[in-house]
Amino acid sequence: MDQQPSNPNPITEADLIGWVEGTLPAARDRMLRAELTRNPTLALRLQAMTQDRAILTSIPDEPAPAALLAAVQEAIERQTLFADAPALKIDRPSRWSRWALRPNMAMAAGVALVITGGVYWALVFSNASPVVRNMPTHDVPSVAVGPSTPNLGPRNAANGGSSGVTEIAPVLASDTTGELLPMQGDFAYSGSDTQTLALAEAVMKAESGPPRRPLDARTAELRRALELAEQGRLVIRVRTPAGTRVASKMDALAASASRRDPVRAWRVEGDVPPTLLASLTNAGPMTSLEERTVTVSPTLASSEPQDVGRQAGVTVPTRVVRDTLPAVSSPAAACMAEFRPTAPTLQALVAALSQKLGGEVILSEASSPQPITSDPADASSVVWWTQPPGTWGKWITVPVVVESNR
Amino acid sequence: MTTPPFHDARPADSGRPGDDDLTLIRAIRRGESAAWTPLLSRHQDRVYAVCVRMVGDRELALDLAQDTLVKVIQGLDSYDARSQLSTWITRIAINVCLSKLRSEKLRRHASLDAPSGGTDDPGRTFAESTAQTREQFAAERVQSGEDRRLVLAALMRIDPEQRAILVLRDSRGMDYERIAEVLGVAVGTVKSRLFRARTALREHIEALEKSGSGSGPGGGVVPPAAGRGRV
Repeated sequence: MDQQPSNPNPITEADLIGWVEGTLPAARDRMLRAELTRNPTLALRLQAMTQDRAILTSIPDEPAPAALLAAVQEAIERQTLFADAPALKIDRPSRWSRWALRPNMAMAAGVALVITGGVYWALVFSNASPVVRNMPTHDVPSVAVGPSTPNLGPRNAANGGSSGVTEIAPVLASDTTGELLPMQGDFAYSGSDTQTLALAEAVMKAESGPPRRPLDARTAELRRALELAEQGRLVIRVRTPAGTRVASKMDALAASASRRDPVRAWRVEGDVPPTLLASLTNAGPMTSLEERTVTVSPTLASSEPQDVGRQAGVTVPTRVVRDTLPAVSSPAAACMAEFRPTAPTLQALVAALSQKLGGEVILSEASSPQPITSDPADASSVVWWTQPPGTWGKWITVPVVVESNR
Repeated sequence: MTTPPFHDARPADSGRPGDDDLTLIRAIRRGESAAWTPLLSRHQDRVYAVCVRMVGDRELALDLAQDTLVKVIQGLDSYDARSQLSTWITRIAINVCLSKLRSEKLRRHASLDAPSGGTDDPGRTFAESTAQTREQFAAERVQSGEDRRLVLAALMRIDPEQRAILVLRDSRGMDYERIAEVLGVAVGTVKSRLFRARTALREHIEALEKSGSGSGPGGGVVPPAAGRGRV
């Protein structure tokens, strides 16, 4: 039985690669050539590979288009502006941004933006006057013309005000409880530029409604609200600007109920039962859960103007107070809000109320418990469900009353 | 700052010292945002070239090159200078391209017209063939644009990982060590994969030749800056 003698130096893939690339050492090259003489198929294959490599290496590279650096430059500028690496991580150029990078498209988009902005402001100013007349006075910026004069309080008021200072905005009016009163009369502006600026700012504030109070899920206010909700003593009051279409906004709010989010699940459904509504309107003043700090002004200790407000050695402590809200008198709308009794859920509900109804949301405490039920009761009382009862969470129901803030 | 333009510097990816890169990186890390532009300008041509070779489409290559450079911006803090910056950036570019090709299962099915000239002469013996040196034969072949189209069309048809190794070796002129760095494999693996990639490329070329196609919408080599579209 013949046996092929084993080759002590077999041809390897590295040899073949070296031959194709012309980097094979001389000794191995001679050995491979001898092998290729005996194997013409392999020889042709290697020769073809050599040709392929020569072709690939001969193809010139193209320089990067100018648009590449421009697009990346945009990302760099964004990083410089925001100085926030995480923000840049969402900066994967979208099809929109690539589209916008094209000069013609960017120019067209810019023209469209200018036209849209012009039309918007034209509409705003054409309807500005009624809004300004109806807006709450606290939204009006107080713009003073003339030399700056410190507010000296009662002493200055006793002097009949600061002469030489022209108050462009009307004097703010408020009662002792901090409730804001509607402004009486029209504005009087002294300069056209100032008037335009003040008017624009007033319109923007009036349209955006009163400042929305941010709520954090960790605040004591939310925790207190949840406790009251469990006791049936929480009432959510929403104060919206007059004339807003509350009914349609309530429909939109109901349609946007967050049912799918297991953490922030809430819904706004149904009318408030007449008995409950009657109890709310007859319940008298309520207490706002929002706490605010109050600093009491110190007694005037000196007749010298520079010492006004100072009293040596006396530290005036700040106090935390809760406002007393007037009773619900004539609600514009009312509904029942159901939600899981968790802080994030209540926070989400408050945010939705504020956003959809365009008003200020006030968590308030009713003076007496309301006849409010929670659900679900038990699985036997539910005829259809999409998730097993073991996954059900407790939902609580609180009334939401929408009022005009005028 | 004397680095020549990348498109004029092939074979350029040979691992030359990147002192200028390091200077710019230090400036960036000191908060000098203006250093980004020269840094990216130094590498944008290389990135774009790799992407063009990998996907064979200028529009898509532009997007992928932009993705690559944005990733460079985002990840420069993680660059530890143990390898050349160009190697690191090339690795990102290859990964971006491979990710794109894998996700979209991008395949080129361009119909290729028959090449104007044959690529092999069946009657030619090995002895006759070897009478020509490799250099002579290569010079003859590279004059043919049709052959370029054929090779590029076949390149787009082989497996993206095999394509990457051919791009790095033949188009970018990288040595085995740098290719191993870019691909994250051993040098021996690079050699083994390289031979398989060449074999695959050859098989696709022969298949294209047999099918009577060689150029067409997907296989044309457009001269530099001659327009946008497939290459």
